[in-house]
Amino acid sequence: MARLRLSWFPHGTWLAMRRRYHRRRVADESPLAHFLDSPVADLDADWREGQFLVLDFETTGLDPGQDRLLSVGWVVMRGPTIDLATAEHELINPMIGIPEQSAVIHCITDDAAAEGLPEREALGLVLEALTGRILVAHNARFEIAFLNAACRRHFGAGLAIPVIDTLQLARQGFERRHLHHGPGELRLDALRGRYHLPRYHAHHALIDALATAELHSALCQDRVSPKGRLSVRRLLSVL
Amino acid sequence: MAAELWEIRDFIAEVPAFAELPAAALDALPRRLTVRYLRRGRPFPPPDAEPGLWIVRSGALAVREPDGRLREKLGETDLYLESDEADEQKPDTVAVVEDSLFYQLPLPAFEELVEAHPAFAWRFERTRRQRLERALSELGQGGRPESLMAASVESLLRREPITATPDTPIRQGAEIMTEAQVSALLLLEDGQLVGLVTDRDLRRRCIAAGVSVEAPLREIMTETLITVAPTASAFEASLLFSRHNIHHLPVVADDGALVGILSTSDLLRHQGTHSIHLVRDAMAAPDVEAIARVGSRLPDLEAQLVAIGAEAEPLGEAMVTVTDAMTRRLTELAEQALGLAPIAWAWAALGSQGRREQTAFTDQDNALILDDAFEPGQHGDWFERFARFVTDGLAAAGLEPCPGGTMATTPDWRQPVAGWQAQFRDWIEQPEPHSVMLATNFFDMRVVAGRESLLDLLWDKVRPAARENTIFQRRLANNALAIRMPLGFFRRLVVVNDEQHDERLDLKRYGLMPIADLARLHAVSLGLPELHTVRRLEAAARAGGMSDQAAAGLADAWRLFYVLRARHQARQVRRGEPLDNRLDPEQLSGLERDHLRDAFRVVDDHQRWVRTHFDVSGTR
Repeated sequence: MARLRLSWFPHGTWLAMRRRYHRRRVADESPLAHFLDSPVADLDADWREGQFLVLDFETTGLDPGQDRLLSVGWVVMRGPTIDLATAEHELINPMIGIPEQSAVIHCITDDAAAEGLPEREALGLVLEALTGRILVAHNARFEIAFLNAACRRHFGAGLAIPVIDTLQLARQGFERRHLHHGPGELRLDALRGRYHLPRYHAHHALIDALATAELHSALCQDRVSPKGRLSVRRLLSVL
Repeated sequence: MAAELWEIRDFIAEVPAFAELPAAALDALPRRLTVRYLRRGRPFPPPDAEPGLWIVRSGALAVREPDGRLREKLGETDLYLESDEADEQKPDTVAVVEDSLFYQLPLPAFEELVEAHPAFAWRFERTRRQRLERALSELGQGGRPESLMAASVESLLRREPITATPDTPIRQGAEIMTEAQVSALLLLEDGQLVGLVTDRDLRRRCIAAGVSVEAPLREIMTETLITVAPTASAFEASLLFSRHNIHHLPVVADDGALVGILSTSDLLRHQGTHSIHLVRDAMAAPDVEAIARVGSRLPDLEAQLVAIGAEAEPLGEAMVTVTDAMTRRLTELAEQALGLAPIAWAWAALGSQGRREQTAFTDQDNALILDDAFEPGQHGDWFERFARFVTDGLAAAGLEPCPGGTMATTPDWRQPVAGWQAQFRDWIEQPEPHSVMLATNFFDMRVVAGRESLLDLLWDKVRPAARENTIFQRRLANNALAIRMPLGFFRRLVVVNDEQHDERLDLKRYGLMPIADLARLHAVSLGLPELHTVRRLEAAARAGGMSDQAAAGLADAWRLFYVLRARHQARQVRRGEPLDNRLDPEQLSGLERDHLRDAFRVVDDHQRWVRTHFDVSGTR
């Protein structure tokens, strides 16, 4: 993964370019077209004014090409305030069998998943929620890869969206302080412990999204003094 | 679609105020919340947030008064209500002292809950007095010592049931019974009670019948079982025992769940410790050993009165009645042993026994008032031996000798009326801090045995003198303010002040004693004859010495401390632990913590009022 000082990266230009590229491949009236036609979140806003959508997927496995979405959970953050009224959780019917090694993690059975929404419909809801917001996820590469793969499957193109990866933010935090960190210390639970956030018991897309949202707030406060300014642009990741 | 926010719902359900909400309201609540994380040192409430009710999910807040004194410390499940009204001068400063996660309920949503759910609303009522009153009514009321046969079967159970399966070998069953020291073993199959094996079954159906000890218990168990519901009364249980000529009754709930087993000895012990029986036993005691046996049952009496939900005053009354009877009988036994007293005497109880608000865990405080015909050379020896006989007897009955020596065995506390009058005159006219502390105990004197009029002679002189002497009263007030009330609780600790966090709440030091001191101060300064703390407060309010609200608030606070202490001691009795006044905050529900915090404040408020009203100088 690129390790760049991102503040100079022309995110806006790059995003606009990618979105135009994808838009040309998408049929009008599709949810993806609507998403790509809508304006991107303001990247120069202070993080306290930022509009974030914190998202987590459970999947049948780790390969975005082969594996499918099983559930999605998300919650909206306005700056540091996590609004639970916006919390959503959807089970998705993967249309393929759920491998046992993933079922032990997310505890979603074939029967439960069969009750879920068709992937295309769930994707439409996710795109609607993402409109005008910045996507926040822990190890966001994973979420973006699955999101792109699913969009390609159903709508014929990927999506381009500003992304904040809390794992990268945390790594930058360690490096800024010249602290050694092992890979285990960048796990969601370990990082939450570092910021004295309570332990959640479930491995569940919505709970994980909420856990990531709280960590995001902690990481931002770590980065800037109460009075200082921190533009959203400086938090973005290039994936 | 339902968002699965149950992690949050479950947490909220643990918060005392929210525990009052019906399940449907709790289910709907998470969606109305916002979540905020604040790092240590950030301002609180955050300036960009709407006002609302803040629920601490993790971390800690310190609330300080304008002068920087710690007002309270808030931790997990504690609440901070931000008011949008500017009327209350609210210059308290709040600091985030640990990285903290909050759930916030916006003010409009909070007000909707208050409108819709009275049980939730009263937790936020303005006056602590109203909340305390409510708290007491919740502590289980209505129990009177007379209703002992109405006690529920459940309240008589002493331990978890000891169980095995019917397929367990007899030998192993016998081992389980020996290990657990029980005479009956309950047999369960798939969670259902199927049989019972008793000591008698082992003798008659196994050993005497020559059944192998390796055979399953099934072969010797009693199958057709008579059971009793946990809600049945002790009276109903006693009927079942006698009607079926049995000694064990499995206690089974309506849904078939096994609750425990009641034996005839549980019932006997229960009836046997009825205070009336104890009083009768004490009065008929032939010797000191018999008195000691009565005394050893006081803790059981307390535990049972607690079990039936006795209120503070009847509970104390029952304990005092027994202690008084033991004392009276000891004076009779002493006169039998030493010959009749040469002159008239009055045996007085001091302290909590004097005030009629004793518990099973108490020191003895007593004194002897003698007729003015007292001649030290002639009578001194007899009364010394008399005092020793009675105090030794009380000690044998479990009333520890007073560590400070406030007992009739001390020559100073064994005097003729004139001597007592001189003593009180000294205390009142030349009040020294330590002598005032000593004197307080003696203002609670009550005659338990002997000639009551001797004490009346004393009061005739002492009460007017104390009522007129404002310097003495100021000293007394100073003494009543000596203990500063704790601020509240923080996690597992009692927050006494900024520096001192205790692991146990001393209910006597930080509750009963300060209130008793305040009540005595009012009674003495008004010249009132009342002794009981609650009676003193009521009488002081009637006499205009304090407001009705203050008196009622203090009385409720006192009752709360008293009942919590009795419950704590009842728990210790059940576990066979030595009794004390020191409560582990972990044993308090969130609700009880809130009630106690209110009670602390009620006392603190009145202490502040006393400080100005009695013109006590100096800062504390």
